[in-house]
Amino acid sequence: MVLDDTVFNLMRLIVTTGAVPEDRRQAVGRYLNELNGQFKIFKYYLGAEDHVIYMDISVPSAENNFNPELLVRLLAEVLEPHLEEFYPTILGKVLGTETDPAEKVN
Amino acid sequence: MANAKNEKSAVFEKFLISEDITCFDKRNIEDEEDTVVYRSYMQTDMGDMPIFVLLDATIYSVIRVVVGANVVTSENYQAITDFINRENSIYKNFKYYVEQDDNSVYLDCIYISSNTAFEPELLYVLMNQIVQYMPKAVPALKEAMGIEQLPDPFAQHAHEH
Repeated sequence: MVLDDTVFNLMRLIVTTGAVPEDRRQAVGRYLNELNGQFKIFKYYLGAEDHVIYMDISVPSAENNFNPELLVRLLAEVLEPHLEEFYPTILGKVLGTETDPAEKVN
Repeated sequence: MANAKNEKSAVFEKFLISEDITCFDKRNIEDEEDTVVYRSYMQTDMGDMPIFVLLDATIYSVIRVVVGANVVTSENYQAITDFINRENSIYKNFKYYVEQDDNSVYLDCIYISSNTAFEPELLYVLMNQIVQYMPKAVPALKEAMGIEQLPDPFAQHAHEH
């Protein structure tokens, strides 16, 4: 979590510990886009240099209205259940063990 | 009938009046979350992009830009998603995505606040950041989409008499 003197508070999750293999990036990118459209506050992307999957939650707030309880509750009540549900699928896409009808079958 | 009350709209509208901001049309959705949609447009070198502010009874306020309605094809999909991934990795406070249902590119900025802590000034600053950013993104958008001009975003809703 990054807190500074700007209005932008950022939570960044490093979803994968290593780079997504090159032959999986297209399928992973497609799936991350689906998640980005489905979930308002989560932003998934592949790191430009390291091709690791990141997920950002940006929480703008003015200094006098900064609410630490809101951030903690977002982590516990929104982020954690989301990861429990979707992390296996994300990992499956990375490893190629999750099938996708949109992918070509060789 | 709405189960929860949207208290943010009244605050937002008071702000618009006090700042003499008249560019928004308003529409009440009358759903369970008491959603109100405010619509305006951004003018860019590649055409108008509708910009919506969605306020409801939840903690999420959404600024949504229709960057390109019905522009995504099988030919440009990869270039668009490459562009989107690059921008999403650079800019903290907004998110591009492609909506498969309508082959459109959207840009969202989410502002999270309780009803009582909602600050319309901050929402407006976030919107202006997008308005200032978009002209810089247009050349790369044109290249990724493979078009010089955006189609009319509301063409599919047009009525003919």
